[in-house]
Amino acid sequence: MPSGRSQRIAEWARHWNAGLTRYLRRRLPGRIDPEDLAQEVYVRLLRVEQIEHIKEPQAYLYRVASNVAQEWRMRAVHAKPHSDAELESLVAAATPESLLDDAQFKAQLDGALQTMTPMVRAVVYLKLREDMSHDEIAGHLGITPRMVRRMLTTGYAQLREHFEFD
Amino acid sequence: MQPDQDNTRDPATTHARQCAAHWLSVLSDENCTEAERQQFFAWLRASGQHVDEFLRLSRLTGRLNRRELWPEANVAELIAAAKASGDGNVTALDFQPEVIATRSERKSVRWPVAAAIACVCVLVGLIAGRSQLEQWLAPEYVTAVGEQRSITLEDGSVVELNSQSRLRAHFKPDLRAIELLEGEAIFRVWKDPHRPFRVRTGATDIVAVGTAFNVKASDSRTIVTVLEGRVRVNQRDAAERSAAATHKAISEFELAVGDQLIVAKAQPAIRLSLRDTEKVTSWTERRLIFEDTPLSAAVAEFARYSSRQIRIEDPAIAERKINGVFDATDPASLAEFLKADETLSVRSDADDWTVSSR
Repeated sequence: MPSGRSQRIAEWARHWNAGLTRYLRRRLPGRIDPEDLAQEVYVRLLRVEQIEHIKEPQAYLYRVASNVAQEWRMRAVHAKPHSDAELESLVAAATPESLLDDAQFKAQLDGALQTMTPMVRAVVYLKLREDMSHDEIAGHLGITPRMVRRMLTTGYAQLREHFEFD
Repeated sequence: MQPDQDNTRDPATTHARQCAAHWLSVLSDENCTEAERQQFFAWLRASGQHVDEFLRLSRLTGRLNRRELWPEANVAELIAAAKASGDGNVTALDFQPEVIATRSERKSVRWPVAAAIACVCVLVGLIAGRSQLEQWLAPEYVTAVGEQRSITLEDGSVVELNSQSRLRAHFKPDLRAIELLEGEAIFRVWKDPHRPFRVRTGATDIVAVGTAFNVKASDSRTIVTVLEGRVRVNQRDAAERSAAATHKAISEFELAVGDQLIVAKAQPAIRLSLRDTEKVTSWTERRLIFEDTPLSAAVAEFARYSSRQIRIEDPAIAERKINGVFDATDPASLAEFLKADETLSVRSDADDWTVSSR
């Protein structure tokens, strides 16, 4: 049984995840390379001295990434006489995934799902589209939560490969 | 360019992606433990590439949270199809990047112990390199003298492993990577066009989609025999020696049913067309078929199945040709066969035999 606390944590992580996604998709100026951003985030993570004090590393990571993106954006605004609106439109086509419009993205997702085994497909669908917890997915599919993790790992890796190679 | 996609990307990237997928899966689990979160952070801080891969995957799955991007699927049907596939019952043999994490799931493991294990793993990783570590973590199948095993892999492919053989299986999303470290095996490959089945030996890479083939590997050479379908064989050391296209023509072979390829290190491969493959697969019935086989080779074959040894005392008779069908588990049958030859002397002492010329 998931405790109230872990549900809250999952909620929080989801919140941060969604926040980061929005940030990176809409607000990253065109010339910011996601790889540069990752390097800057990495350098900042290395500066953290007492890691045991960080209770929510995933949320922490997203916060740092958001901060870096925000700082870079501010810098870009000051360096160039762009209005926020102009910048927003510049940014719209910034990152690899957003180069795909929704129709293309849908088609690719469909393709990726086709390459998965029925079990992996079901786990990915229930997790990402239906937003179910691991325990719920395990219950629906009659498998162990451990297997849910495993299938989800396979599914994520397949999605990652698929969206890069096309 | 290698045709095998896996060879075009460095193992560190492949591993980082696999780990990123693993950690996102673990962290999205509501039962994720405090210790796992800390391990995730340690992993993240290990490399900028880890941060990059994790952020990219997060961004992708973040976008996938929008329901309207998904195809309309009947959830009940999806679940039914998944259940019918029986996938969840597989005691999977797949590669898992997280030996550390699985241990921490056991509540009894204390933090200092987990930390010590993590340190050792990091050290080992630093010393050996990530791809090496990945190899060590893959499940290994070993057969002793006289032991044969039939193994069903995670993807449904079946491996018949001959005696004195060693095999490792790494299942990746885009590749079924098998290593035959020594010995002999028949691979009956489950068809999956999106996930090539690659068998690597010291000298060669054998790639198949859905087919059956026998591989015999020793330190010096590899023999591949196709029993069904087609396979592609790359002579690895040749490919590595020179990337020139002219060399590629020599080092890459397409084999069909009945084709046999003998690849020795640093030598041109020999291609044969067999009339039948019975001789090659006879080991599965524990039969040994010799056709003009040197006595030394016949004796070496028997040694794979039985601890009772036949010793050849006289180098002159080691090259003598043997013809016949023998029970692999019964070296006495070969000893009897040799006794019938009046030019040879066969002495039996305890469990072994010694052969010399008269």
